[in-house]
Amino acid sequence: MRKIIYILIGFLVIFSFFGCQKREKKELVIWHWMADRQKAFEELAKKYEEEHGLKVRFELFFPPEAYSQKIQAAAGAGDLPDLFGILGEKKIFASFIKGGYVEDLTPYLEENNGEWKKRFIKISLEFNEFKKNNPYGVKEGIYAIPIDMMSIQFLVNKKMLKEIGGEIPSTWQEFIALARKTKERGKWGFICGWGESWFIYCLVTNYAFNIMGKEKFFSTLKGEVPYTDPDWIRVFKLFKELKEADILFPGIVTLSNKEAEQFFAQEKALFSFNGSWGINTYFQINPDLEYDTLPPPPVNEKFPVSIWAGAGSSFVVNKNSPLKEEAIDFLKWLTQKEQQIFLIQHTHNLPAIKGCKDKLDKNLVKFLKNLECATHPRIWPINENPRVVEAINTGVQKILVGEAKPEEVAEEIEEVKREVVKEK
Amino acid sequence: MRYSLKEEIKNFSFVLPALSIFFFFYIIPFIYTFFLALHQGSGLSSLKFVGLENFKRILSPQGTAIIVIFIGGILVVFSFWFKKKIKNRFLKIVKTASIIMGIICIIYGIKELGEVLSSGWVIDKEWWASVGRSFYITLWALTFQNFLAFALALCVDKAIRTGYIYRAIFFLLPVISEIIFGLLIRSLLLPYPGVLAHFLKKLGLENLVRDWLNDPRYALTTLAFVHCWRGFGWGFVILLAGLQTIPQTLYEAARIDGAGAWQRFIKITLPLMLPVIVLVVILTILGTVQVIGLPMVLTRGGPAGKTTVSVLRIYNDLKNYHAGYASCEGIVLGIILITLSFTLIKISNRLKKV
Repeated sequence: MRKIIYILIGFLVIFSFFGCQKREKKELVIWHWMADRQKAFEELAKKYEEEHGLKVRFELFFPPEAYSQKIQAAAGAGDLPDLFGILGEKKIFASFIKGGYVEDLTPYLEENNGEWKKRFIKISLEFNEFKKNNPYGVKEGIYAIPIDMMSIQFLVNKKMLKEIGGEIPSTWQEFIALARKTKERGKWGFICGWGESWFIYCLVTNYAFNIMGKEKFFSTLKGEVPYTDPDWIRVFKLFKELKEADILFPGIVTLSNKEAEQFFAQEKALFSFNGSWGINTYFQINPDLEYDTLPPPPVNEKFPVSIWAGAGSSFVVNKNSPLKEEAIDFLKWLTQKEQQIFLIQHTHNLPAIKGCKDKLDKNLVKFLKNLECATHPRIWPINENPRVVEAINTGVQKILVGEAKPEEVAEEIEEVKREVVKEK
Repeated sequence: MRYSLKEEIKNFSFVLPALSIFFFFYIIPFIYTFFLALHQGSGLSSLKFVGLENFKRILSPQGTAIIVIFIGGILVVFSFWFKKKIKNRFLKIVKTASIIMGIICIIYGIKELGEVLSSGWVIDKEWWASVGRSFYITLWALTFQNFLAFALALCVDKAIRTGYIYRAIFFLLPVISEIIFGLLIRSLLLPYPGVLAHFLKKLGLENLVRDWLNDPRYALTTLAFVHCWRGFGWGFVILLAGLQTIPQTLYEAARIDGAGAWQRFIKITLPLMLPVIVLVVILTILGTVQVIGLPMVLTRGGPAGKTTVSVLRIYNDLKNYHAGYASCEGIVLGIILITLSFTLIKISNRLKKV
């Protein structure tokens, strides 16, 4: 028996020794969720090792939900890699910064007269920036480096548009009329992955900017304007108009983004509302698909319509990493023109840096249009409470399935908003 | 028999690995959940202590106060009930601590209740609606799923030679990943291309065609039906195993005494199967209330939140980094499930005596 105990203790000591042993060989570890980019990342890692002698390992965790939980757990356990990405709202990003897991990259970006900072398209970097006196209580600075960009716009199937003798719509009414015409021909007018409810919020905010202007929109977020305001009811009525026009793809309220992309690629609908990431799916399903982008057709001309755009994927540097400097050097290298071109050509995403337009696929260039009206919740001075956002998404779905009127939905949302304000 | 300290340590060392795993992966997360439930925040940066605020949002301030008084009462009553039985010094300390805790709970609860009694009872309606949806699916599972499982188990029990084949066939669905099964069913039920709708039309059953996944009137029932269809195999296997333990001699004796098939079922099968049925019922409740994979892939909680069940709601809260509130929801759901399970065990014990 004594022998067994000695053996057990022996094993315990050996395992403890190995467990406590430090990484002897220098290796940069990067966690991400981008399944479509793993191969390209691996090639870049190989190239970096050849050029700089530092091994880089990209570890993929998919799907994104699982990835989010993985980094959340790793942060709690103090086991984050040297570089990683953070998914979700700016509030979540702020939690990681306040938790002491993310390095402030501003000094590195400002080095050498801001050489690194000047490379980027403005909005892609703004996406990861915390301004002075931000509502999250984060110290002013830029905390992540974008490796690509995205924009979410209306898409139109050019072939189908030609068949009905239409032109790119410039107003909401024209859009509805064209979609109706398509429906009469046995196809659908509009498709979107509204099963993923954030798409609804995206379109709601696009039209809220157009109908009431951004000042009034932000006033609502601050609780100064109620959701029962006529302008907000007008926004919700747009969804009623979509339903009543009978142009929506069947089952749109539970459709995932991938499903919506597939059906649009199969030319089942004239219009879609999707992000630049969709072009991969379109190309794989139907290489001959001819489409163009347009901002959401405006309801009025009083205020400009907006689109959501910004950094697609970004990497942050682990503040506690022993390879912090090496990680920053790697990011500088990754955002050089040569690597960016390699990435966009392999992954069909928009580049995060300037000067790559001539190297882009013709469909990708379309998503670089309309960026003058780009916005995103991550760059807003204030964000809506997630419970209110949930109420908006659920309410709009109710309108779409004919369960509630826009006025009733506005009332429900306002009730949630009042509760949230009261709790605060 | 008393062991020396050396022997005690030696014996303890054998269970130490299992205890360590249990402690680190079960006990600590369990306690941490209670800790999180009293805080607000993502769990990443500093947590803000909010006391019972999360519970108040779920149960309303009045409900929380009443439950606190109830828990305090239980602590005090149980502590006094154990009065004569306790000799161990450690347990005596626990008993005293329980009494003090209980009294604190009662005083705090009464104080809170006095303050909030006049105001309206505001509860998190969405959370309770999601719990209601979970129990709606559970009701379907307890009836349709378990009746189907029992009926098939009874049929297969007689077919000894082919029993293994049926067992394998019926058990196939629960073995398939919930996600894969959900995606397959979704592709059949989608209104476009509408595979099931197409077949129904071909069969002349056009009036049965519905938008099963997107119509708020049918979405939850569709989800319940799909869940039952996938899950009946579990119940089937357990019930069949139970049926095969009943000695055939009992049936033969009953048959000689002139008992018919119905009488044999009521007088022999059902009473002897009672513990197994209770087990299946408990497993069904626990399994169904915790369903998450199917609603995630079938409807994503839609349309208009009509299929957002309780665990999906907890998941969404966690995903949105509301760890404190999600923990609180988890605790409330856990208490409901534990209460239900104990009630069922008690009922089963009573029935066994009868």
